[in-house]
Amino acid sequence: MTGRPFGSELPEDALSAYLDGELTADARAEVEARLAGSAEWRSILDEVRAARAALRALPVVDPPAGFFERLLAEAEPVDAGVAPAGVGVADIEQARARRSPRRARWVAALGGAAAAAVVAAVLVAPRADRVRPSVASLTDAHAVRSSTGEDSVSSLAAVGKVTGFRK
Amino acid sequence: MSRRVSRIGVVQLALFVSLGGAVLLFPAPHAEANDNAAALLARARTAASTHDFVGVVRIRWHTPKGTQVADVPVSSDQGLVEVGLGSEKVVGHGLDRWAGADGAATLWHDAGPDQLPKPGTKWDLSTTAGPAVVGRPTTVVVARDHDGNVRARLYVDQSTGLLLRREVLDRHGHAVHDVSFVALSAVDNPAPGQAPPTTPRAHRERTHDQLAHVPSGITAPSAAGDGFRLVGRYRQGAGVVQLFYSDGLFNVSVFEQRGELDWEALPVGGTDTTVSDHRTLSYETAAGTVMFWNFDGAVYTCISDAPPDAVTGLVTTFADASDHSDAIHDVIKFVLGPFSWG
Amino acid sequence: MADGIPTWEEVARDHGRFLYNVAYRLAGNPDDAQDLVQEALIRVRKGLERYEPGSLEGWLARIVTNVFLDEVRRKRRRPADALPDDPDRVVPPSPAADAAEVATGLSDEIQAALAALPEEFRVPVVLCDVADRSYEQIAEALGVPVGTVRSRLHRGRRMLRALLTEGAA
Repeated sequence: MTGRPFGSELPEDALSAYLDGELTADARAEVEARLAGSAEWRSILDEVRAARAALRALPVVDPPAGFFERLLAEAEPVDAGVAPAGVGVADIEQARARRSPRRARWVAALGGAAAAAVVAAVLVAPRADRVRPSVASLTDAHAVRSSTGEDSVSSLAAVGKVTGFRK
Repeated sequence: MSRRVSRIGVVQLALFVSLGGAVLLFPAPHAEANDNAAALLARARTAASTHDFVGVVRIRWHTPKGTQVADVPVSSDQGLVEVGLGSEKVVGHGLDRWAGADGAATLWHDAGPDQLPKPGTKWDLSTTAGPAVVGRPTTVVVARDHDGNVRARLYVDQSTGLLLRREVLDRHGHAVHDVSFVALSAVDNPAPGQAPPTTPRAHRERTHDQLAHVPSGITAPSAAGDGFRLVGRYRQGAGVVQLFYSDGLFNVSVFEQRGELDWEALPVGGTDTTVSDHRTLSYETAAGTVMFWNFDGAVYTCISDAPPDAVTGLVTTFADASDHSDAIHDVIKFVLGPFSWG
Repeated sequence: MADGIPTWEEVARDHGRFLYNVAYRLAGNPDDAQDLVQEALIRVRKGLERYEPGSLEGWLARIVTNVFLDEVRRKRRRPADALPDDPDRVVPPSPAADAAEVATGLSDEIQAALAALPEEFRVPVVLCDVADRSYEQIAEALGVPVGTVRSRLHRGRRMLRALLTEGAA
């Protein structure tokens, strides 16, 4: 331990850094020592841990259906002051144009009808066709096949512990 | 020698021999420490099903956010190995495996991979007397790459040949994956009056999934990365093929199917890296590195406990091997090229 | 992608969900989140030439944060600015009140509390606990020292906890 008097100088926000794994081993030891001796710090740790856990458990929020497809396919005429050099006001194919002072700033990402059509046709595929690997069953398959060519315990042990991948 | 040779043990050994596994060596009849590292590893493969025990295994793996830990109970009784609890449980008996949701609902049975490469080809193996693990003296098999860096340590129980601990190290010698017994008891000494174990009831079977050849359209190089050889091809169902690679010490499964990857469905927190001009997203998990990539109309998922740099090397082989069609990208570049946004 | 640099379309398709999620947690409502994402993607398109392959999500988190903060500063400068005439937009009197009206579940409560945090605390909290950035990355995104990130993050979390427990029996 350092020569500092116990409990001085260690800022309270070290508790957040402690939970986030952002402390050195020495600092971690200091925090743990402080926690052992301070009910107040223990209580603050509980608060911060709870807030952190609640945030991390929040679900991923999706944009409205078709948001990105519209972005990719949609193009708006540019405001005169904003148009980059080299881009003419082309006859651009649009899906549903939304015009507002705010959205007029939304400059066409593509420079022509042909480009927009190519991208829309080639890259904008319905989301339902995209592949979502079923990591749980792939993990089973890997573990099972590994375990016949290798020590079975170390190969099989992880099967139930690979979490976090959406089915 | 273990106190009994189970019927299953004999069947397993017979299969090893018939698959050309004689080179893996029949374990010496006396339970002496064997200085031949490869023989030690071979013996470790069958030790869990030829010795009874009860224990807990701790998995530690390194992620960008720190080290994660998980404890898994393990037991072995007359050749029936059970790993995990409840819906996470996996059971092994001979070449049968039961795994899946709802408590071991799928029976897997394959003949085992083709002959594995000799570990000594790629790895410099040596043995040394090791520290005690769960209070039991060990012999450590140390695997060094050709630069002399230690990349794995396998701690084998001197008495039974059980693999007690397996450490995988990155290029700088830091452990990235570590599976170790932290409790082990009742070795070859089961509780009296215990009922014989029964195998689980399976709702589904995955047998005859081994493929002699991969379907057309699937890229399957027979050698990949540094010293990995393709030793198993399996149908994983729904157009997915499992390619099983081994370098004698580590295994890599590459799951491949036609299609476009839904990157957005993958969890936040993966490491985004470019390998041979292709984007990959990788995660460190209890099972090792899980890596996703997508090119030329195929989606790849790779799972391995090999060191991450070895996995990346393998991905490079796939990138270079595929009949890569850049037509779509050429069109977009042509179309967007003339417009400069300053 | 070629040269390790993704195309704008690839960024939109592959990272759109991440961008939107971070934007939503920063802005507190879907309309602002969509605007944030659109604006961020414009900057992405412009910045792609200079982008050095590395952590793409880190770069995107930085961009969407800058867009959000620019918008916050813009609103502060002109508080009486008339809102655009856009029939799709629902105008809440204040984020917390609106969210409180529609709160139906725990995650709605948390989102409401998050929206009630001052931006200076909300941004580090979202970047750490939603976008999963390290302190170093957050410091770089905001142009402040790591110690400042740590202090604001900690205070933000304590405030959030206080908001979630106030009024509890």
